[in-house]
Amino acid sequence: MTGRRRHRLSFIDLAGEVLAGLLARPGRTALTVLGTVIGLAALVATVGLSQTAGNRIVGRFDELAATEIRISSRPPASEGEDTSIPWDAPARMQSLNGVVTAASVSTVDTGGALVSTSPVRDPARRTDLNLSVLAASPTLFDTVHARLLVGRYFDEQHSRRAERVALLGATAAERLGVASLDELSAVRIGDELFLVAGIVGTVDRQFDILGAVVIPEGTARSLYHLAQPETVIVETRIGANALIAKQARPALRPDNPSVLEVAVPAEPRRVRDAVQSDLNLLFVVLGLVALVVGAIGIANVTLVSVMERTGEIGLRRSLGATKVHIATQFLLESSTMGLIGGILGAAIGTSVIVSVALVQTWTPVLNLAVPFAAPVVGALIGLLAGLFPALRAASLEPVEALRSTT
Amino acid sequence: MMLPASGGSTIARLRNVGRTFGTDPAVHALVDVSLDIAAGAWLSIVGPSGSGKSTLLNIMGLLDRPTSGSYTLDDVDVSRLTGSERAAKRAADIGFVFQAFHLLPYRTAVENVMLADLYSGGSRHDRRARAAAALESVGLADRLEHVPSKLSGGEMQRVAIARAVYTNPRLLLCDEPTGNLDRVSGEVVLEVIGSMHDTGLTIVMITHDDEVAAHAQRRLRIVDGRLGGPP
Ligand SMILES: Nc1ncnc2c1ncn2[C@@H]1O[C@H](COP(=O)(O)OP(=O)(O)O)[C@@H](O)[C@H]1O
Ligand SMILES: [Mg+2]
Repeated sequence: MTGRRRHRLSFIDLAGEVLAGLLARPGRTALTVLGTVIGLAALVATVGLSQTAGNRIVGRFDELAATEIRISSRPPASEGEDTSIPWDAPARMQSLNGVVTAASVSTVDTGGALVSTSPVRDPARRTDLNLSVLAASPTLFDTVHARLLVGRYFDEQHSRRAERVALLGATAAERLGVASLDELSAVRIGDELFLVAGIVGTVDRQFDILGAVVIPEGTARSLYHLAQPETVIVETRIGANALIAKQARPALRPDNPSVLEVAVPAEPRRVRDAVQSDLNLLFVVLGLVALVVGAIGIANVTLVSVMERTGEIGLRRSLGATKVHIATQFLLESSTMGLIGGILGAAIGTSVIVSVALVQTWTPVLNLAVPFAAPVVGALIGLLAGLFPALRAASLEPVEALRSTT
Repeated sequence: MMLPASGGSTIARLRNVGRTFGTDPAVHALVDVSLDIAAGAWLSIVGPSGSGKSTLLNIMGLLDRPTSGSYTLDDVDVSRLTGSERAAKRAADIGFVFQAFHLLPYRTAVENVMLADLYSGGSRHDRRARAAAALESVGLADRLEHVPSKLSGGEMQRVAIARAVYTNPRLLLCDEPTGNLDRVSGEVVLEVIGSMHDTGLTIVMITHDDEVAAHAQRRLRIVDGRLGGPP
């Protein structure tokens, strides 16, 4: 007598059947998987690229803008009202806890004096340029993250002694035709000769420095009667911005805080969100369309496969397969196609992110969950797509199925 | 009518089995069929096309259910079994050989034979060896790795027989096993079936061909769904 024997299709055997089924027609399987690959690659790339682009903006914007405040005077309300910023404003700000550096900077009224390189005026060579002249506390260069091309910065000594030294911004130097300090060590502002101490190559904020001649504040006070600092730039520690913005006015003008204005840059998040949603929408829609097309493709091919393999289904039933065994096999075939699509999609999508980031010299950023979610999503799509064909296969009557001669 | 078994214990017992298809008009494919199949018998049922042979074999193989009467297989009233219980019984106790072979085109001979083990729960570690032995027993030891398209019709049917007997069924059911074969290949296949019978396997074979039916030990005739005596 036959006892009750185990009647269970083992997973290894089932996996073997699924693999054999998919590999029987590798070309068709590859084409079927393509839609899912494209869809998931597009989605992974979209998420990653917007994260990467968002990070780039946040990286520059958050770090610089979110740690910066600017203080200036408001126009006097009544005649004779003292709205000035004190000369020791940078020092006062730096004494506050949460301030990294602070500097004062002002536009100098030179009375329309032009800047030239030639020590003696030569009517044949017009090198006289209308460059702006800035007066700055020596801390300015730290505060704007300046990097020198050549030379050195001026310091507290130069300012106190009102020495005639100047730094040229890179653009100003270029317009004046100055490349190094060897061939020229002085510029003329109007009739005043200034020693060029250095050339500033780049800055991270206050970009007008690059096109200007920068002289010490003390020099500007004695030479051009600069009355008060125009703007104080403060770099704060991350997160200290709001606090310092509140403390700045009483710190600089304890007698009358309301004469000062404090500017805090706009919230960076809004900028990032705007960029992200712009970038995303199109690709998300494209990715979803490709996914739907991919799902229809898998459903279609699985259905064709069920019809082609009607005889095989009948044979398997005659060998003892239950409806569940048959349905499971086709569901697993369609899910595997989705899974493969998801794996390839994640790989391609990630490569796209890295390539774009490389070309743009951004840092590629991708939430690790995304490439791992793609195969899961792919498998689920395959599962859904296989549902109808699998039910069709399972509901075939064995006798009918066996009549098919395939 | 009642046809007693020719001796020994009874494997399969059909009582007043009827099978009717459809309603308008109803086709009575089987009418009041009663039959006992003794263990170790080789029975052939011969009848013209459309006489109900395949319908009878499908009921005996648990691929179809009778609309009336009872069927007992190994003392189990199979009409009480659920679909998956019947599937389990097919896997364990029944081997089929079809006219159209039903080999999977992308699998080698040995892989086609091994397929039967999937649903009957045979152990995996000696699966290939057992399949090779089954192919050897049908004279195909040198065709193990051939795909069906590289085999002749007779060879394909012998692979199908190997697959059917590979799981050691209680009952081998053959539906026109030589129907797609030339005379010579058909003879070889019948010899192979005979050798299976010699090992003690119980066999029911249906055919429209009297000469083919003559190979069996015991012969019955079927006409218009009714089982008659020996031709
Ligand atoms: N699913 C079905 N629906 C309707 N009629 C059927 C069905 N299956 C078989 N028949 C009919 O039952 C009769 C017996 O068929 P079958 O058993 O296949 O005959 P045989 O195998 O002897 O040629 C035939 O008249 C056939 O048309
Ligand atoms: Mg038939």
